Amino acid sequence: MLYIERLEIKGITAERLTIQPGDCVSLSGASGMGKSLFLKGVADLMINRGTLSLHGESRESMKATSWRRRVTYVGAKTAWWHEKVIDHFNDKEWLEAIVAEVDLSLKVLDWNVSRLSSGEAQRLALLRALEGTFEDEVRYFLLDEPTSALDGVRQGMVETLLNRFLNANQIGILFVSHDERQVERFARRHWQIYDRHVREVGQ
Amino acid sequence: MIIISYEELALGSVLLLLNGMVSLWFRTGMVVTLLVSSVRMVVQLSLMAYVLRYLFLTQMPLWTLLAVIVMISFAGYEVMARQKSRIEGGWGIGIGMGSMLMAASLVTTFSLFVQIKPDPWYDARYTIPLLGMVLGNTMTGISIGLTTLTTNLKQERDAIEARLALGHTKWAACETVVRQALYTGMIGIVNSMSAAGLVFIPGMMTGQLMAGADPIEAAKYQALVMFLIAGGTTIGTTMAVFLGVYRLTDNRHRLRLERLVLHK
Repeated sequence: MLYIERLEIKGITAERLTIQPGDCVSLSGASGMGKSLFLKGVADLMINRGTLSLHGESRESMKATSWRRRVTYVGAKTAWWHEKVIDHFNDKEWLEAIVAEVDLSLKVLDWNVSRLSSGEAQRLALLRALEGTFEDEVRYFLLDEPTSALDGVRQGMVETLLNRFLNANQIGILFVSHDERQVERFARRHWQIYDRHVREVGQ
Repeated sequence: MIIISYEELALGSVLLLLNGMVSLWFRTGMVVTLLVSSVRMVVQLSLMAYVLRYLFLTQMPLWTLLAVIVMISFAGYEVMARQKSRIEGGWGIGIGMGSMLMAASLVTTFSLFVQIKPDPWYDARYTIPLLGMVLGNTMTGISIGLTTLTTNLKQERDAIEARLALGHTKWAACETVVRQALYTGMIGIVNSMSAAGLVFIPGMMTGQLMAGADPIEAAKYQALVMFLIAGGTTIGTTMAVFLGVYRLTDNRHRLRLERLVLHK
């Protein structure tokens, strides 16, 4: 369980919130209210105060790098640091087996990143984060508009893929989306950011 | 050595008028800067000459040490003053000053004890010019290295944060930026080593030749100085770049670019 208590990130606060393995939670709120800031805070990428813990282990007791392996933020803007797509991945076999599920061809993996369309980049960035998710360790994903560059069909494919991990209780998700239908369809619980405070709202 | 008179020197400064005219004509906005920096140059050089004459005469280690401290402080300050976006507070000055001090003192002491061996070892005639040459070049390396570092950290921010988000360490996330910063900081001395003797005669060798030294001996000295500069630049740039990354990230492996302040 990802546990958040009395968290404060640059003025954004949250009292007590939890995400269980298999949970898929949406975070909504007007633009510029600090949704991304909140996600980055939970990933410990932004200076923050308060309690963050994973299955009882506090964030302080873990190395920042291990925290982020288990509480992984995926930004709205995709960014790359090697020349080729494939160089961003460690597990080639896993990747080759999974790309088709989000309608990407194997050829794409050998491309230079500059050649990717925004939709391709977005799906690959998600796979890049998902890589290394195994049964023995639950991971939580903080997804910042994960399908904003995708058409309806591919949105559905990404959701199906994520649902497979969710249903196996391998991951928990907190995501931001401006697509109300997606929120309705994909999220099982809802959080809202209002007046710089994050709280859970009715089912 | 042929002595030049003050009148002849004054005639030489006529060349600056040319620069002034071009600057005025094309309104480069450099006229005042040109005036100030040329006057500064003359004043600083004459002051330096008098100080050196005094140091050579008295051979007082304490005065030499004082001159060394002043030179290093100016160099350290100059490193930071050249940065457009600086690391704020004491760290900024500290990084410039610390890497300058480390690089220059190590390399200069090394050559005083191992190669040149003047008697006494702190003889100002060797200490000060050697230090000056090492400082000048190291300063350039450090300030170019730091500028590249801060510019690229800002430019590559999204990629660095994406790597951090995936659980990479801050050193792994900044690896490309560090490599570029070290490269640009050190490429200057590498280039001047490969061009030395072919494209230009380095300043020190020129001076020794005009003062009547044997070309072979002058070349040996120049090669030694190049080694020293290469060593100093490497030590100074590496130290500054790594301290820079250390300060612009934190122990939770976060990027802390708010510690950079923009000047002017």
